[in-house]
Amino acid sequence: MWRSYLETGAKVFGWDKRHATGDAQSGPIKTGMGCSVHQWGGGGRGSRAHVDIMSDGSVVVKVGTQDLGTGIRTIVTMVAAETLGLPVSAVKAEIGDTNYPFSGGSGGSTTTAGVTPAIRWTSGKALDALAAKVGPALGVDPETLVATNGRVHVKGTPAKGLAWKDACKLIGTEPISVDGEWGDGLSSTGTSGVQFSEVDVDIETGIVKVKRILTVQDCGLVVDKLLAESQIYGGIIGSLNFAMFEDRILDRNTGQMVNPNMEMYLLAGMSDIPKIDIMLMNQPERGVIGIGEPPTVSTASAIATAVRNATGATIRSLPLHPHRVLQAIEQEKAGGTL
Amino acid sequence: VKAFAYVNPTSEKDAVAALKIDGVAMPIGGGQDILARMKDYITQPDRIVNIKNALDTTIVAMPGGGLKIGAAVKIVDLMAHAQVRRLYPAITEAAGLIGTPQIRNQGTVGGNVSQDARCWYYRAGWPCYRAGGNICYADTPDGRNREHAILHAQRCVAVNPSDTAPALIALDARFVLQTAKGERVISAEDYFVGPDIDITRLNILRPGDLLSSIRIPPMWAGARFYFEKIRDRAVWDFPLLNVASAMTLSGDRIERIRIAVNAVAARPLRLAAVERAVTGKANSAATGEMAGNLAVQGAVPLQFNSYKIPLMRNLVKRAVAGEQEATWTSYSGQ
Repeated sequence: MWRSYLETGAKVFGWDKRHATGDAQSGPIKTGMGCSVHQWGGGGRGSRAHVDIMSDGSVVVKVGTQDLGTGIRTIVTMVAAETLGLPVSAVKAEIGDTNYPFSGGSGGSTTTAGVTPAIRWTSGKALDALAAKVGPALGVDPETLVATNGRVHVKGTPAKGLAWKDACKLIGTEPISVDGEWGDGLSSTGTSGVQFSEVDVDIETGIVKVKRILTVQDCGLVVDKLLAESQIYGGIIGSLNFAMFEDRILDRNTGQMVNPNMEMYLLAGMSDIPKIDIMLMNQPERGVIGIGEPPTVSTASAIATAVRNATGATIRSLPLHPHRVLQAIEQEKAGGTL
Repeated sequence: VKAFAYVNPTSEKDAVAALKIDGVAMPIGGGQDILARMKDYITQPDRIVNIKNALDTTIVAMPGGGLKIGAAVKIVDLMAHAQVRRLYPAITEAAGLIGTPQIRNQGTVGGNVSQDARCWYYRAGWPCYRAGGNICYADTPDGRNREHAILHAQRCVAVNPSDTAPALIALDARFVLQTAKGERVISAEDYFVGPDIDITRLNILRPGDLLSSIRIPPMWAGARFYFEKIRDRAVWDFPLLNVASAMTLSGDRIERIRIAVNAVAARPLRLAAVERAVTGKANSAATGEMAGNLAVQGAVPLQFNSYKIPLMRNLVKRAVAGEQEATWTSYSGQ
């Protein structure tokens, strides 16, 4: 996908305005653009889930995954709600407990692709069980029933059906309680993206300011745009820290870390964060994949190549602290860094 | 933290008296430095003397011109003071670049100029020269010393981290001290000491002494100022290097100039040789170049801080040539 993403991104970013390596403008502030591409596996499998539908219409989804702040609780709720034709507020997701059905670890950008198919399948099975109760009451084949907009009705004929609450009254005292698991066909692996960055560099002090970053990124089916973009912002900021600030400095004589605190181990503050633009490529035909880590891959190299484009100096280690950038610029002036 | 007594005097005299004990007594202003040192076991005072009710918290005009800034004035109030901004904007700028809004709300002027070294070995409690030991860990062949001294190092290579100090030196400020023997007024330069004088302190205060106020003379009011601080991040960092200058011009010639840098040595350095060399010269890029080259003569880098030489050269150049500080025109964050 890189070829088309590069073309799309370059156009939006204004890549044609990029100058040759070494900004020829006078004054100490030099501007440069850089670009980098990446891919990541993602995917995931093996999660199980449990769905309860009560006679009062309430829905509870249980799954043993955990939300590290990435929004999987929201995603679980959304997928179940969409499958059952309900608003998100009508579904309660219960997660983060080892007593709940097994789910994988939250790593490798595998959570969404590992969890959501199980939610989809299990919610579908629960709906089938509800349809089996509603069909006879309506005098129709349960196979013809669907759930949309808070109603369980004959497909294509919303009027011929029951409101969700009324449908659930047919459940009786024993709730619909269904177990299910991840199944093939709703997810896949393999994401790709490209990133562009523009920086200002003060060649007299070595200070680098990242002005803007544009990314073109896919992650298969976008389950929720807000959360997917939020993951991309987080990934880019994480990688910007890798590029610009984070450094574990060890004393060579003793092996002890000399900056083991938040004063000396640097992380970006608000004013260090550039404008970040995201072009999220939706590929529903590929199923769910995952988006946590992919955007962290290429930000650092997009920034470092932009610094090279601005200054003409090649910097071969991160982070781009002023001392490192200034030293590289001075070496370049003195005859190059090889 | 070791248990300590807390004393809250309400006059300068009582504060000085309260510091005189058999044991370690330390004054506390905003507490931004000393509390961290206590939590890290670098300093373990027996008595803490709150000086915020004892020392001057006002900024007032002096009879013959100039301003008197109380040592207990908060950084945020210094930043916001209209007369300071009008007469000595270099102070306003230096104050505004300190730490974070939280630190500026809490910290005081006296505390900012009197703060201890940030050397990461010293601050982590390594038993170095400054801590009373007999080695400098940062100055070993493999020591990590990117933030350390390039000038006047002697055994210890830690630097003074204050942002306001170079601005006050450039303005030829006077520091008023309260001691057991009475009041003493010294020049800003003389307030700070290097390891050759005392390796365990960054300033002249002996136990029991207090800095009570700072007087800014009228001489440099409304002069042309330059202040720039270089740090890793846009906020919340101590300087890798900072520079302050005050200058008056006669035509395009430099009539008078004072210039100081910090974070290159254990004390903020006034660059008297540079001042002499550029006085009477045209206020031009060439003079700036000359000043920069002269400023770094004799600088001795350690393994990881040789960048401070071009950095100091370039900052002094900017401070003398009167070039506008690099403008980040297209930076979206500002």
